[in-house]
Amino acid sequence: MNGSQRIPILKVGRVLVVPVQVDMDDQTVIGLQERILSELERTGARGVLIDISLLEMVDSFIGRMLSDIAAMARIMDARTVVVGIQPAVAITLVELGLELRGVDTVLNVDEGIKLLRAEFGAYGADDDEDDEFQGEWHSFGESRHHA
Amino acid sequence: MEGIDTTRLGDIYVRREADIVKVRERVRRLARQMRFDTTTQIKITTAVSELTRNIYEYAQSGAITLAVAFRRDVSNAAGLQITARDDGPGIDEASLRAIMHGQYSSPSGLGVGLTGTRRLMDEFEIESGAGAGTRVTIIKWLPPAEAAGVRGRVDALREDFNAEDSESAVEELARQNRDFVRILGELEEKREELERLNGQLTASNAELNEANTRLRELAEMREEFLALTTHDLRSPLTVISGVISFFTSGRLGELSPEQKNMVQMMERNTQNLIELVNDLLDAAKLESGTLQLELVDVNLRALVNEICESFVQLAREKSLTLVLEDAPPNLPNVVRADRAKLRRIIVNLLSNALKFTPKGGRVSMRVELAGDDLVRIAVADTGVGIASDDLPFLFDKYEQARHRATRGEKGTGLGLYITRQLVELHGGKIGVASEVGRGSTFFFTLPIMGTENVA
Repeated sequence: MNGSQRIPILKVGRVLVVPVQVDMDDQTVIGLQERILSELERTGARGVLIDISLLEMVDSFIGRMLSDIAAMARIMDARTVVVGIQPAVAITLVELGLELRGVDTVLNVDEGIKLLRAEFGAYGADDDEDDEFQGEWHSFGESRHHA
Repeated sequence: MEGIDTTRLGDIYVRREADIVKVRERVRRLARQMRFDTTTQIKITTAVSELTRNIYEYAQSGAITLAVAFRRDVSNAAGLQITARDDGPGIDEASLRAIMHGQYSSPSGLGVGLTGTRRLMDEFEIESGAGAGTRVTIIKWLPPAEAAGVRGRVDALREDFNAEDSESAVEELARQNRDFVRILGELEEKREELERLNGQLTASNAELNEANTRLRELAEMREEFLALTTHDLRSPLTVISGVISFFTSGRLGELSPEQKNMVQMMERNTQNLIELVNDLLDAAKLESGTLQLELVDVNLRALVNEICESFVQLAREKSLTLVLEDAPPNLPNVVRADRAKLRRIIVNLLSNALKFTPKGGRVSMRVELAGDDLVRIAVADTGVGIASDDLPFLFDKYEQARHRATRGEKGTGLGLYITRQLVELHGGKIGVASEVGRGSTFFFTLPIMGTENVA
């Protein structure tokens, strides 16, 4: 069985939300990468939000895979945001000298959605399919305008 | 490493990719047991993850050795030492220098791995050469406060580590699998048991249904039979009693005294038979709930008078005194009742009283108010009385037949049962007070305004 099947990929509006809740072995990470890309193709989602708040360890391999996901998603016209990095994991990543190239990192899911929403707003405002998303996160859209 | 003593805790072999996750888990657990803080636990785990991945990627197999390290100097420092070794292709001196100066980057992450590992740990040592395999030793020192304590816990740490080792992930899976199989088996057994019970229930349900249907059929048959027989019995009886009336009326000529006597006997017994059949018919109707009341305004005073008068002759024949006590002036003129049924009630009580009172006795009837909306009618006699044991069953069906309380007297035993049913149909209550040898008083109440209560 492909281990990555244990990690759900949820479509919320035009964003794929990927909550990572288990320590991933390499095959799981590779499998997840493939699934995210095929979901992007299938759904035409414009954003990928990877929640790693439950992940206790990000080593160079997992870090590089996150970078790769972001790079490939970018080619498919989607933006990737990684949210919820634990402080200890962040410290470790810095000491390890690992940059998550091409990956935006924000504190939590709300901020991640806000960021992606801002991104779409720039060139996707008249997109009908966006309505569901717009309705759900309306307040964030508003506050962005005030800011 | 120089100046450092180590106590080995155990090894973890790296052969499969899944072992990387296993190493991470076990090192994380060990670091926690050694009481490194959370951030340091993650640093150590990440560093080991890098080393393990290098083993898997470049040498396919190798081993991770875990040990507790003690510095031999005055600092008394203690920490976790991890050695990663493989017999892979090794790294030549030039590449190694490049790697350690951050001038090397590989597509797989190597380079960041080794330099990063050195940054994450306190001690770092690498021995490698082309074709000689690689051996990386790293140490993380505990804070001084924890270092002192760890010396005494080395055995416990080793025991923990090896206890866990005895059950590899595969064994764990196999064990879980066995548990699942066992649970599945149990579930299957339970399901079969349930199915069996369900089958039994269905079967007994069907039996019950059948028995129920059969009972209903029997009850219907019995009622039908009763209705039919009573009807079939009544028709010839009516004819007989009609014929008898021809004799008694004298239309067939004067009868001799002996003939008259016999005709009278015939008449009396036919009358008894008619009453009996009527009782049976009424009981059947009451049973099936088809007896309906026709409520009308009944002049109770007049009805009671009329009934008493009809019994005067009989009382005289038995040398009994029949007394109708004066009704109180505030007695309402009319009550709502079914006239025929009310008559039946009173007649039944009065004829019973006359029947069970020996010569010279006294039977009296009293009508009175019992509260604002009830009248109470009581019939008292100075007869044989009823044993207190028999009182509770007096108004049950076929009571007479069962208890022989009225030995030698005629009747089906249905009289009082029917009387009670009729009283209750009217919304009243019936009762009796009695003493053996002194007589009985039967009484019933009747709502003045009547009730539509249909039993």
